[in-house]
Amino acid sequence: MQRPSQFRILDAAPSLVLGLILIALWEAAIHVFKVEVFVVPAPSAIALSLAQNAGLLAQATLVTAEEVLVGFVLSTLVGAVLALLIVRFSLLGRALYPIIVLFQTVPKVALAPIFILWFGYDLSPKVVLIVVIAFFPVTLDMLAGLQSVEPGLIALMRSVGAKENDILFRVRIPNALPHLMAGMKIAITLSVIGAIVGEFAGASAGLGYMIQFASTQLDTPLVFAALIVISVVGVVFYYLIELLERAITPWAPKFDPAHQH
Amino acid sequence: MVAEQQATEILISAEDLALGYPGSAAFPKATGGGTNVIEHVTLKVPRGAIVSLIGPSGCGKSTLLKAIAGLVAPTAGTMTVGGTTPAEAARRRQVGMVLQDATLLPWKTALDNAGFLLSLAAPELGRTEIRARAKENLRLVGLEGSEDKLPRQLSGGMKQRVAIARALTLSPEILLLDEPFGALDAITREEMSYLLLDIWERTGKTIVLVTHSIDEAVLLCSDVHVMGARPARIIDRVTVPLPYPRDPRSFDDVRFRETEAVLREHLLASHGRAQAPQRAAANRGAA
Repeated sequence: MQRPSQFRILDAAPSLVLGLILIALWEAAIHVFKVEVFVVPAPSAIALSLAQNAGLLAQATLVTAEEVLVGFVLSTLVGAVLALLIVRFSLLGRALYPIIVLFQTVPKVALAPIFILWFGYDLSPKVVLIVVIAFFPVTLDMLAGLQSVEPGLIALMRSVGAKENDILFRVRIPNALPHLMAGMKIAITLSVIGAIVGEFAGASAGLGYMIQFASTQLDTPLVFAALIVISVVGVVFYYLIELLERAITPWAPKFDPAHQH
Repeated sequence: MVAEQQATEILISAEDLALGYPGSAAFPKATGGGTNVIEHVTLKVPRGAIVSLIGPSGCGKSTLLKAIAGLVAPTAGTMTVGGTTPAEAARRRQVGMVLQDATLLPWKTALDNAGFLLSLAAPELGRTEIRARAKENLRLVGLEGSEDKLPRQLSGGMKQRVAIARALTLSPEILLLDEPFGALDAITREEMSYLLLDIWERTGKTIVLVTHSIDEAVLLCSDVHVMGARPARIIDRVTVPLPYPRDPRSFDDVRFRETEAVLREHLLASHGRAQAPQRAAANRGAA
């Protein structure tokens, strides 16, 4: 059923070519219009900065990646458990769900200074901020998955004496896994944002801290270099989740952004 | 034929039955709770018979079938299945049901899907025994060799075969099918009809089938219960005077055509009160 891997490399070719063309145009534009390096650095200047600051960037990446990973795992747990509670205990669900939705209207980025005040400058305020930002899509998608079970099948199960826990564990939860994976993909990108915002609000290490520090020094190439590293971290995490998805929900239809079959 | 059936035991019996949906728990009124879908229905199905409920959409034929399966409780009248209530009969695994959609679990193989309901109903049997029974029933529906396939690897007809095997794996006395071939193409439909006849002849199950296809009802059944809408009720019971075993040649039998004509007339009459009887009369004149 799976397409051979050489076709996957071919699939990536259009994006690669387009990306290289855009980078070349960028490089050319900087030289043609003689743009100052502290305003917009050329790709070559960014590459140089990446190489020169490799050690610093690597250290910062470890700090930020830890925040993202811990925050993301907790977001997934909190999001999934909330969805399970809402579905399994309907009274609690009816009480809880509107409050969760209401909480979503709070601009959570603005909570970052408060978390710094409460939890200090290290890992914990970033993790709390990430969870607050990223659990909601997990809850929503997990809820959709738990509830999108064919009512006919549920009726058949009940008629032969199945209990609510049978229905939850043998049908609803497996049915929700592909949905949970979709929610996790959104949560991982939000987790990266949460970590950077948390570092902006107060930190002594990490890629977000580095961006802020470099911009005060007008070291714009380093700002861009750190940005690239953050993006790579995000992409790597994203595809790790796709791998996880293929491992634990092999029956589910593959996500295909271009609708090609 | 009729005398013979009266001599055999009545397995499913409904007396002056009324059925309605309670509606959703949160909004019973808005979701149609408290109103009856059918009223004053009397139905008798002898053991070992293969009968169908036929009628226009909205006549409550699926609801009546669900009542036999114990999925809908009567709001008035009585219904017994094998001498007990439908819900109790379902718990005792006397009733197996097949819905219009196969409703298979996409992460389970054909074999595990076929054994799924039995594994819930009788976990004490153990995995090995349940799988053995599921395998046997997959063979009965012609899916030998497809045990390890996932639903997405199966065609619509094959999925519906798994759903039939899932019902049969419960070892029920009664097999209920709610428009089981409604979503399939014409040729697959006909194949599935012969499969069902084959299963009936081999197992001797009592089969109740809901369909809106006159052809299907006549080809398969010994008795066809015609239902009408507004108010939902059973209009007539038509006995199909064709011998078993039935096969593609049954379509050519003059008795097949005659029964079909009678049923068509009934259904047209039940559809609209004002014009239909005239149309039916015109048909009779032409014949």
